[in-house]
Amino acid sequence: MENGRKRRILQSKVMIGRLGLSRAAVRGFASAEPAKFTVQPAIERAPTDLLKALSETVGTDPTAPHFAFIDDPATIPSTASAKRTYFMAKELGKRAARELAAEWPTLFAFDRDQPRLPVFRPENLPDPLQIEPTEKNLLRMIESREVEDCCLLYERMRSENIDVSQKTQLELFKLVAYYNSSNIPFAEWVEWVGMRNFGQNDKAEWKAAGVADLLFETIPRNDETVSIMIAALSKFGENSKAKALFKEHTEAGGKVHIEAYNGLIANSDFKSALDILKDLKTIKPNVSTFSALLESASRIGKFEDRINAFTRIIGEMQALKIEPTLTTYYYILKNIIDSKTQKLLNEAKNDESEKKYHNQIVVSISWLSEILDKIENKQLEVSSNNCNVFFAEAMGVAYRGANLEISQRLLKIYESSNNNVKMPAFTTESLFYNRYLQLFIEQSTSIEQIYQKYKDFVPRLVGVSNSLSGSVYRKLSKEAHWPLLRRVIQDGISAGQMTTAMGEEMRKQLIEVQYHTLSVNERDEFNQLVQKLVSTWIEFSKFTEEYAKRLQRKLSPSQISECALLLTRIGEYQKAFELLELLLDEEASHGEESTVLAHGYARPHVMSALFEDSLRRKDSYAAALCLQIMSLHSNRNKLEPLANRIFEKCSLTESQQKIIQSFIRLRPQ
Amino acid sequence: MHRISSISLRQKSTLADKLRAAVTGSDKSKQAVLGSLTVKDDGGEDFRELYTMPKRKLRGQLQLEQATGRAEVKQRSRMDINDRLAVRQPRSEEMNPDQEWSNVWPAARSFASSVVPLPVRMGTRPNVDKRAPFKKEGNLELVKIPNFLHLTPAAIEKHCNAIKKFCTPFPPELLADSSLQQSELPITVQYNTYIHQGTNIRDIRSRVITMTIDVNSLKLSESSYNKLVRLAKDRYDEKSGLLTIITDRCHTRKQNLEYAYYLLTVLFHESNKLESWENLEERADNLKVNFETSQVRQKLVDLIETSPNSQITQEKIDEFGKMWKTYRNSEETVESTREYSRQIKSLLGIRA
Repeated sequence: MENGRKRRILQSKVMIGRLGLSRAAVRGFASAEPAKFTVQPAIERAPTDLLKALSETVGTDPTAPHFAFIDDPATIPSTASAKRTYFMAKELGKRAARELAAEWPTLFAFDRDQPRLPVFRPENLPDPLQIEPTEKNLLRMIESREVEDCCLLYERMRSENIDVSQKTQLELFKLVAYYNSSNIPFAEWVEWVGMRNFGQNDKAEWKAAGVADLLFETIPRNDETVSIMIAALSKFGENSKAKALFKEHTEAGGKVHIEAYNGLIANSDFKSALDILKDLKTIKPNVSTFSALLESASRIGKFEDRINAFTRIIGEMQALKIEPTLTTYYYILKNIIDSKTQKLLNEAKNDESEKKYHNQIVVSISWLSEILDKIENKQLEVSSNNCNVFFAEAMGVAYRGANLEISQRLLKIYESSNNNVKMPAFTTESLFYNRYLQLFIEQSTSIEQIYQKYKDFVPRLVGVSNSLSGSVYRKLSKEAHWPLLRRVIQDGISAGQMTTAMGEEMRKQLIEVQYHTLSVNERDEFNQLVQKLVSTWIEFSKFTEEYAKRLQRKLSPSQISECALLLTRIGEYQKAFELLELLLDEEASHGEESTVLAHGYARPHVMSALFEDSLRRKDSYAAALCLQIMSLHSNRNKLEPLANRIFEKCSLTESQQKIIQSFIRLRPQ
Repeated sequence: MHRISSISLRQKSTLADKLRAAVTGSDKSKQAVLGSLTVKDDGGEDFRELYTMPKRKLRGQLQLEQATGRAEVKQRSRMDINDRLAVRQPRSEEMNPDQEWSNVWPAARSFASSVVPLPVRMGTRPNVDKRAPFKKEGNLELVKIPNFLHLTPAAIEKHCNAIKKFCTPFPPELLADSSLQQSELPITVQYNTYIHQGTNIRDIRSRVITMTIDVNSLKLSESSYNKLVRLAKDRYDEKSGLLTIITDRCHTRKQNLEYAYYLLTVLFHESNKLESWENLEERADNLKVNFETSQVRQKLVDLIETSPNSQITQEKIDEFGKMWKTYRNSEETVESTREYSRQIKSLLGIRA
């Protein structure tokens, strides 16, 4: 094998082209004779049609993780943050490798093939301070959209008095104005998906007296350059400057392009936006103009006025026969419900604000229903960079309106083959499905359906979270369903919920399980789950060394009592009572090596359940242990009947009875 | 299975301990105090034991005891606890029995025990009757072998149905008469495709093209045929009448295929050309020994002329000529020599 490397070779000997070549052969050598057989003309197909047809045979696998992750139990992330970490780790590793390969290309020369593959020889970007200051180099940099490097090189060329042609200056101006003389934002990184979706840029402010301003002064002013400048200023929040420039230019008799109008409209209040719109005499507004108008309408404070404005805008679009896009709908849905009303409702519930909020929800749901009627069965195409957020926003409205039917319609539209607008996974898409799943769990009456849905969505589309698990637990406390409970608890374990408040919920749910109703297999699963949980909690409590203290989660008395109860349920009496003895051990709760929290108390109902259990087994020692633990927080009057029950149920010697009696007598009255 | 580690307890008597003590009559705390007996010899010296082995248990001994369950395994909390907890259950556990397998395993991939819901086993053990081969979890043997889990009959059927729309019917005439294939499709092209794991998917050997052509189908004149045979050298197999062109000088398969066609075209036209110097061809230049211009024929003709009574006729000479041609142009064997002798004798009328 080549280079002694182990290679697996599947050798396939293929005989091809008998039919295809026959035509050539017949034409070349026997053209006089008619062909003795007919070959049907090939069915025309694009280069990827065959692959598409094959890929259509593959559906979704609900148990699989997202394709970006390694399909192994240890590498399938359960939570949204784990997904992000795994994905970014993968991508940043790749970037680091790329960086090294660009720095020392000969060490990573995997291009044994002829002709060479350029991807195996990555090149470092040219340094603007080292590179020859020529116009050609500048143009090349502009093409690769290295904005800051372009600025550096341009400034260097100016300081060295090298002429730059008007055309190049215009190109540079377009670039630096659009990007505000800074490098392209993460949202536009093409190759690095993780950075594109997770990277967050600070809100940029216009760089005054930067290269863009400098170029604007240098190049001749015309409609195009002024429009670019106005659009750029509006984009980066320099509203007053943009307006002044617009005024100046229009007064001088110039006309600006529609993009500049859009920028101005988006940043103005609705009234002045309408004024600007009136200026559009010869220019026809486009969808973006209306999106900008909706954006400005969203700033109207009063709910009724805002709805009126939206209605007017949509009416105007219909009159002009402009088809609204998902972006248009996104702006409407995002701004129907008052954020103030919602805030008020969260802070203090009163009838008035509740009514107001309810009204707004009803209106937004009816708008959403209308929108869905329009986009159902329609081919949906990408129209702008935020049109995909429509789906998440719409699902949010459906969730707030608790309308399962609308959400299911929306999901169907999103997943249909007509829809080419996809949300980025792990961020918006995960939010969309999370809202849907939460809504489904809350609204669905069938626990079996919830189980199926939960299994399909978690963790593939929706990460495990406290709120999600919480809503499942709420549902489970009304109706028991062991497979769902097991799945939610296991998800909780892998999502690191054991040491949070959800750990308590897990114990509560497990205690509520009717052990006798489970099948043999299910009992086995129950036993294993309890063993795993208890051993993990104990392991967490035993990080007593100094360097590991940050990991330690001490056992609380209530936790110990609940764990002991769970252990007795699965027949681990010995371990249960060993655990309970910790509550009486002072060394366990005090000092450097302590594993039990000093404050708190064992749950009374759990202790009485344990006590009853030991009486049922006629285990006087276990009952005495329970009695002693209960005595920590109760008085003699309450303990005496318990002691009497021990005497009734268990056969004690006289001296033993005496010991118990004297113990009770010493308790406070 | 998770084991619950022992919980350290202070030797303090609880109510339960006291109850126990009341029955057994012994107190743990008193028992714990045990004085060590020191032995002194006559001279009042301490008895010093001979050192044979350390009194503590050795590591191997402890491990053995732990493995056999005689000693308690002391479990320590390990720092990677969160990573261990993040490991999910194998997803094969929650698969529906009626799921579409081709969705789970759509393309070729190495075996993954967490994905395949089959209780497969692989490997060898000395006594298979006593212990079954290793199970799938962590079994490298299963990863090493190629699997065809993506090529289940159901998956292949799906693929076929999906690409059926791009297929045209096979020529029915060819199905009816397979000999047509030989006469109507004289060119065959062969190449190999290599699939392997590596830094890239290309393999330099896949560029090679082998083209075979049935020379008879070129319908060449005799001189053109002779010229083609000379030009093709050992690429032409006279027995089967097939010309084989192997091209590998270009980078890609497509280029090599086009080059093979180019070679064939050039060869064909070059063979059909007649250069002026080709007229200078002499008998010695022939590829095969020719009977018509041979001395044997001349001698036989002379013989007929000198002895008019002989029974040698032109037909007989022609028949002899055929045999002579094969005899001279092929490797000499005993049989062919005998045949030669038989024919010459019958021609000359000599009795054996």
